[in-house]
Amino acid sequence: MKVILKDLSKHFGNVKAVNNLNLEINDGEFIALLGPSGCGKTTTLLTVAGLYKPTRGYIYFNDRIVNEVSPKDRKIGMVFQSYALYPHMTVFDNITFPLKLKKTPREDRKRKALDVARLVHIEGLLNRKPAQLSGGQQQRVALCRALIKEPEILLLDEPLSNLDAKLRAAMRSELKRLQKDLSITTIFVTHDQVEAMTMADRVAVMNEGVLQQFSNPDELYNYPKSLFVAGFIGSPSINLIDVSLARSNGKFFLKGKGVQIELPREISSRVESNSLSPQLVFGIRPEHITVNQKKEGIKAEVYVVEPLGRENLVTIKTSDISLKVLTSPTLKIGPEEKVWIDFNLDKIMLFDKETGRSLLLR
Amino acid sequence: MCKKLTMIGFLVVLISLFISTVPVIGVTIESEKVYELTANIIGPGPIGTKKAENIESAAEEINKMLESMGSPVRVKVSVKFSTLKWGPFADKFYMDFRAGKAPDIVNLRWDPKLADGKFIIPLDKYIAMWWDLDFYDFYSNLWKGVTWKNNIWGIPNDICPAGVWYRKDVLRKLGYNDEEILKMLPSDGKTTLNKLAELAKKAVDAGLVEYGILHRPSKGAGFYATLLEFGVKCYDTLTGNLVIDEPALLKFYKWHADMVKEGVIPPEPPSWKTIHATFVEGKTFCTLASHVGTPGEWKKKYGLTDKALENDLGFLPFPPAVRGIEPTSVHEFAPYLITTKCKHPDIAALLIMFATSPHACAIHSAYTLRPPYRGSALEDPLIKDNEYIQKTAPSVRTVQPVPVHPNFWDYMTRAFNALKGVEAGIITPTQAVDDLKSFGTTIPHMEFIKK
Amino acid sequence: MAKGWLKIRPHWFFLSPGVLLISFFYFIPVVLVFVIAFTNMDQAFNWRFVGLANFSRLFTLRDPLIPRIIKNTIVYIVGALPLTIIGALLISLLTMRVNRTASLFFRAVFFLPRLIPPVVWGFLWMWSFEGTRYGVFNSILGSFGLPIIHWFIKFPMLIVIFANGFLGISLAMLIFTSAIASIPRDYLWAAEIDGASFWQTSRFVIIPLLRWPIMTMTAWHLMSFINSYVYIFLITGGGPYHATEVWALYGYNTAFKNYQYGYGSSIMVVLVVINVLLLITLLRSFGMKKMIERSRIEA
Repeated sequence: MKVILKDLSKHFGNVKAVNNLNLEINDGEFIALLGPSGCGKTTTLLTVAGLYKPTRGYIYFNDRIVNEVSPKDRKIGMVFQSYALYPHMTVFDNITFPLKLKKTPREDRKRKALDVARLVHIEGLLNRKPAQLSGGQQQRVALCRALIKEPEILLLDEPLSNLDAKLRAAMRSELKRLQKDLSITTIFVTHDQVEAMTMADRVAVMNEGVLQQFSNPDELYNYPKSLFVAGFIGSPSINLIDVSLARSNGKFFLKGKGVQIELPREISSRVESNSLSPQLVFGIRPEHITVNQKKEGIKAEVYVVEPLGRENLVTIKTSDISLKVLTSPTLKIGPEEKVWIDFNLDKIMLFDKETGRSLLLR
Repeated sequence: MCKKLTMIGFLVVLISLFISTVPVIGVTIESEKVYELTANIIGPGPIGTKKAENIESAAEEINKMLESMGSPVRVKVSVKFSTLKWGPFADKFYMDFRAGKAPDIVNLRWDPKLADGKFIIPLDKYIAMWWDLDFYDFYSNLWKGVTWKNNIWGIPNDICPAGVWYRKDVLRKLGYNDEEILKMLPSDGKTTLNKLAELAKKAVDAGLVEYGILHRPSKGAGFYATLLEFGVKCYDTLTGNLVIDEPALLKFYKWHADMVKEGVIPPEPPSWKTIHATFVEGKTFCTLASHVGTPGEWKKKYGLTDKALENDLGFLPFPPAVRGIEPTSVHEFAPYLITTKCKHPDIAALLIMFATSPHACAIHSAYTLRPPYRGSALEDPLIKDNEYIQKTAPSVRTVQPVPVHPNFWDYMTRAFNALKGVEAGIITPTQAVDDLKSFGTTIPHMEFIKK
Repeated sequence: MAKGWLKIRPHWFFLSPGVLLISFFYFIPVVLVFVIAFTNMDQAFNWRFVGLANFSRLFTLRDPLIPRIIKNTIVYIVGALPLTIIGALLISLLTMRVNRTASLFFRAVFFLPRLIPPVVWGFLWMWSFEGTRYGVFNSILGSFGLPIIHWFIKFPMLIVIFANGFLGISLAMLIFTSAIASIPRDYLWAAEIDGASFWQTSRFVIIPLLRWPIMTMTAWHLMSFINSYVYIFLITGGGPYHATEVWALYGYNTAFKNYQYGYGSSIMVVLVVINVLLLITLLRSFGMKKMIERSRIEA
């Protein structure tokens, strides 16, 4: 099922929870709605589910407008953050509740319950009450209840956030596998960028009710359209430095506090045509800065070294600016040591300080 | 003339009394001696207020006399007047008594429990002592109502002969002239309850009234009177025991059930307010719930005019419903009583005597339109020219007191509740009598008259 | 020494007002009632011990009213209790469905009986169903030219049940509404997405989640209906002819209307014993520990 949100808005009084959202989700696609809390991602999901009526705009399932279709007729399965398992019912009753409401014969219910339970390996727990299950098991039960209806769209509201870190990692891959096997169009709400990036085919980043960017994880990471996306995506997060664009002798320079970087020609020409003001933000991810002790590049001083195992996260100070850099553990440096840094100019990002828009994209 | 003589008589009594009771203070010491007494008087309702005021004026009169004699003795009485209903007022008295706060004089519905439980003292001594002086002209049938075990325990202070009020104007609309009306319903009651019911049915059927006959919504003397008219024997005067008279009771309940069926009596008795209001408005043909003095209340609260009272209303004692019964009226006494906690019973008795003097009796009568309880009060200027009181005064002579027995009102409560049950159709007359019979077995010495 | 005293005694110090009040207004009266039940005390407070006479009168049915009183009590409770619980559930569920203003309005209307003084509430029913044409309902009938109905004769028990049921509803509704409000929204949404109609959601999700409030309110009102007679007393006084006289009211009427304090007390003693037995049963079946835990809905 293809899902299209067209100019979708949802207001609560004066609060514009979702503002003019446009999104096109392909059949069988797994997308994530990502953003900080209060960004409107859950509201969007509930509106797609039909639990909220949109204030403006349209929701299409394939070619059909479903604004007025009630939730039960939308052929959706949903997993809530709290799982919403009925405490007074057994796992079996919980899973087969949608079928019971449709008056499906008990034999069919049993068979289908076993089928979905096998998918997520909980066939041994059918007679238990939710309170007797672990968080991960409850999560699987909730998933079963959503899947038993054979929905055409699966809506997941932060389904992994109540699990511990190890389980969460395991469930991520399992969910993804399941989604691919069943090839159900899936919308997944999360505030965890790792979850979104690892699981989704495409990620829609939202902030304050507005869609910031909707693209695949790679593009999102490497070509963020806005300052917000750049800052939100990536861990450790991107280094952002206020700079101004200066020109001398036909060359372009970025000038910040104690930094001056010469821009390659093709970048500078694009910046010049795109920028409206000379106030820019220069962005570079920690892995795109190289550190050397060979006195090449900008002189700086090591502030903190945080070993992450595979690599070290080093905080470096140069004049008033501090930068995060990922280095190889083989590079033995310690605090207060003098080092030299170099930027990989192919990977730099530049944003308009006022609008936050990327200046390097067309 | 007569009045002057009695005054002199009073003085003589007073002097002798106070000299005998307070010789030391009265003669040898000049300083003032004040006797303080208390009295709790019940209305019930505001209509009885003169019973309380009469006690206060009695004290004033006595003090005036003492002053004129130069005696330093004074009587001070504090009277509390209550508009409570009978039951709660009695509760309060018993509780006060047990708490050691009993008044000296109290005004309660007469109940032999008061005498048996030693709450009150017998008054024979004073009545005998002052008979010629004061009590000689109290209607003689009234003393029976305050007698128990050969003693007199209270002084009557009010009389309201219960009976039948009906509307002459309704009968006129049915085509009877005044002469015929008086023949059918003579004011001495020499007719039958069935005649009354027959006229009531005609009035109802003609759509002239809403209610044919209304009776009391609660037990009371008037209810007992209707039992008497059916020849129901409730009390054996010889043995002093209560009686359950099955055949007569059955007749009584059957008659009422029939009346409800015919639409003469409503299946549930309306409230007092509705009874009074609909009768004064002319929407009720006849009420068995009232007494000679009720027009006083009708005038004060329901806008009855003197003209309507004179022309349109008729009164008679309860007429008999079966052969061999005389027309009757009843009254339940609530006399002045002196409690055993009274330290100066002589003075209390003196106060009561003054509070029931012919003039005091006339004051009460004029205020309530009830007949006086003593003959000489009729000559008091206050009511001498009151036509209504003068006309209805003889009704007092037909009054029978209700039996004096500790379980009598308990019995009446059951009998009345059964009447309501019969009228409402919840029980049959036979069941009503059966229930009364099994109640009777719980009362010691109950006598039964079988079918 | 002083330190030790402080250590042990403060709780007694803080408890003492409550302990005193409870002993004055509960324990001493209960003990007195037990004592009086073995006497023949009358209106004038004359009494002597009569042994088990009062109780033998009760249990050997020498009081002909007892079978009727027991029947009335059972009919009354069997009528008023379901009315209260089901009525309150219905109102709570339905007000959940309509918009906020309407729901507030209806809940306020059904809560009114709690705010009205008992005497006024009783008289309202009495006047409304008065059997003359001046009664509220009869005057309505009259304005359509219909004959009057003697409500209290035809439907005495029904009137009494409804008058008390509406009072029960007002409290139970309040409890149920707040319990429903505290059900996580996810449960209701999940049910909605799964295709449950309003009634299915109520039946399969909401009502099972309200198990505790429903049980508490059932126990509460069972006790309350067994013991309270105030509204029956005000509306019918137990009449007509004992048609609405329940056990507690019969005890009251015997003691304070017929002035048989002794016999009345013995009737009340039976009530006290029934209460104690009921309380023990309820505590057992609910589990005392669970009862005194914080109120909850199972979520």
